[in-house]
Amino acid sequence: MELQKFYYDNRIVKLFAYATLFWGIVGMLVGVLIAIQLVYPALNFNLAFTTFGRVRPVHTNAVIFAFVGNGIFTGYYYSLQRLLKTGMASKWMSYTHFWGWQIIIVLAAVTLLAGFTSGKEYAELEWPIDILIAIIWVIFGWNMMWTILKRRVRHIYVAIWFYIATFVTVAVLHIVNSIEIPWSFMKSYPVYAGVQDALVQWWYGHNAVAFFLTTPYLGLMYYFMPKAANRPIYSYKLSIIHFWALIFLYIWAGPHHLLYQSIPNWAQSLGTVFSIMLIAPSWGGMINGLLTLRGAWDKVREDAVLKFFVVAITAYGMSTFEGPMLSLKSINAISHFTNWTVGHVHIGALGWNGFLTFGMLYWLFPRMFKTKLYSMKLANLHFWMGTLAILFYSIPLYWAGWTEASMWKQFNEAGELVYPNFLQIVSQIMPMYVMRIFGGTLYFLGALLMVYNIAKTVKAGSFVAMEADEAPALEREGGLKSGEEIHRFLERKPIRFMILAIIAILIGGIVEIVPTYLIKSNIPTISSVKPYTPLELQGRDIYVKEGCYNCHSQMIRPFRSETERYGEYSKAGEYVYDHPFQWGSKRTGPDLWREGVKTGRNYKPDAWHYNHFMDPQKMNATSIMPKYTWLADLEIDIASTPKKIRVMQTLGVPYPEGYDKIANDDLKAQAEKIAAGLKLQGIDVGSNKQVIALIAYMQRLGTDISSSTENP
Amino acid sequence: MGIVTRLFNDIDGIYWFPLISLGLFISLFSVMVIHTLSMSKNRDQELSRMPLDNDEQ
Repeated sequence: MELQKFYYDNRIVKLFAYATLFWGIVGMLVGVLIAIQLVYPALNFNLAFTTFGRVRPVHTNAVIFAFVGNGIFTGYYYSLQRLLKTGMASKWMSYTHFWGWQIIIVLAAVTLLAGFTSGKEYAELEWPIDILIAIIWVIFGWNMMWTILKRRVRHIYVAIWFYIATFVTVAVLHIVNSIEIPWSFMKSYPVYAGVQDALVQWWYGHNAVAFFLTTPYLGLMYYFMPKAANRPIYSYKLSIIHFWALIFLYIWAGPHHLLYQSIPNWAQSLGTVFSIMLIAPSWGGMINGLLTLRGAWDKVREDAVLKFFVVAITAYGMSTFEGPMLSLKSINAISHFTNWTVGHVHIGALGWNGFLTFGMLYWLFPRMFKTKLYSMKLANLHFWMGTLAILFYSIPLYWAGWTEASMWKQFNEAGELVYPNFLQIVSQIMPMYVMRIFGGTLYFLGALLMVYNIAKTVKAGSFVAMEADEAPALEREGGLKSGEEIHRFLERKPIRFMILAIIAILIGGIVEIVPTYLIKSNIPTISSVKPYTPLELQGRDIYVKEGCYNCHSQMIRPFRSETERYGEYSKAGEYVYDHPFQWGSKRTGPDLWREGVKTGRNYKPDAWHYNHFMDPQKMNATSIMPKYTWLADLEIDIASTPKKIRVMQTLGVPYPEGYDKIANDDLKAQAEKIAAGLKLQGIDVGSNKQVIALIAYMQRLGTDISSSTENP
Repeated sequence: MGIVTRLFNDIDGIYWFPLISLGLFISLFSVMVIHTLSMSKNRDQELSRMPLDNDEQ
């Protein structure tokens, strides 16, 4: 058959690879900064845009969507063209995808630092950027599917199955979780509230890990591991079973992020069961990756690329075993809200994603530039620095997590908390935070070494922008042939394959999401739970804007250690007006849900809150909270109050008809009362300042049910 | 967690959700395993070499 000549576009691969290096360095550097801020709060610089609450989402977004995202696209553009023996279908779409993605990253960094956040972890970006992400993602997926359709290879290799599953699932997750109603050009409220919002958010959050940090990387593993080892993958059959089992099961496991919290028991059980079942397909991938090296283990001694791949896949195996263990309720009761989870996440991020990306880049650059890697010794040094860094990072955090959990839960013989002051526990884990800085810095320095090594490689080589290849055209084939196995048939029918993948992921999504709609009518009315006052609503938006949820939870679990420390445990019906929910996932500081209950252990007067926001270290010398002095200078945006009230009314919050027109009168009256109270305490602050709104919100937290009766 | 259990008892047939999902998975998974294990081994080996086909390392 006649051979057709075609070209692989290496330029797009190179652009994404450079972006991976650049954003990797930025993301890691920001990570080191926030790790230092937890030890030296002065390094928050008393500036709004450099405080931990705003910078931490920049770190997570930079690492996940910028570093890992660009890493995915680097490997994807390289492998897709070669596996299908064709160039990309649309050059225009490829480059729109690249530049669009970089613009999204820059917009994300700028807006997050400016305080524009949805307040939902890993989905913080506001609605205009959400729309841009959806457009760019569709362009990426469209180009991919078009390229697959014009391929010259009959069967679609397993790596591409993972790319397809990634494309469709991320689209579904992003769109469903981002349904929000704007009240200004850059701000919106999510349509979900409280329990619903929590379930949708962690359905998204967990599956962002699954379908952004796992499935595309499994695709990369299935291509680059055989290439680097020069061995076929261990078992194609295993890849079929583990692919379908993985994408089917992963989508169910989200509620394991909400164990012992105010969500239905059945959802918690579902999350736990499916998390445990996930070990099998996850380890199927790990086994397939590692056993690809059978007969080639001697190469690992010399080859830094294989070293990175082996540790990456091992880290994948470790985190996918640890994840299900953390989903067991008895273990989760200890690990949740502590640094243990942070350690767990970083085994995946630094080990699996980081190391697979490093190995892939060390393999790719010499091939694209037709030269040898500048220094294998430096690459090996990077490998050992990175490996030690992961240990120095994660071990202290596991230690810190166990320390926190033990101290939070310890009672004396009289039945009282041994460590009632949260700061005693924070001080205890400071040495672990310091060691984490060392681990993070070492990892960052290793990455810098890689940039140097690659820069020298690029300088020595000669880039091949369009790489020529030849292959015969693909003959058209009809339906299922006699004797043809069903999966083999599917492997040459990309659209049907994609539809089946969508069905596989939608089953779990629907079973989890549909009942959350049913919940709305079944959630018990707690008669005393009322909408926030306009001032409290403004204060809540400041709480979200400053990213307080990054360090404080608003969810008291039904454990004696928590009810003793914080007060009455949280009820689902208390959160019905919370758009977005602010339950948090980590307690760097204490839970705040009963902060406003006057008879509670944690109640503080307005003056305490004011002084604490202005200078936390003055109130508690060992506090690691940043100062928020600008809140006493900036004014409440009262022009936005009517719009906010109207959007809340649209979302079903029962403000009276026409309340938007008089809401600011109530706001001013409540603000003046707080300011007058502060004045009596010797604090002179205008009633129109943001700190007043935030104090109002703090004093409202958890107070609704203090004199309520539930009406099931 | 008593309160949470009580809240969701009101949803008709809610206890079927996890059971249906588990049943669905187990039946699909079983069919998939049987189907995969019965596939041709030679073709399997051929496909597992796909990344190495156009190698110019």
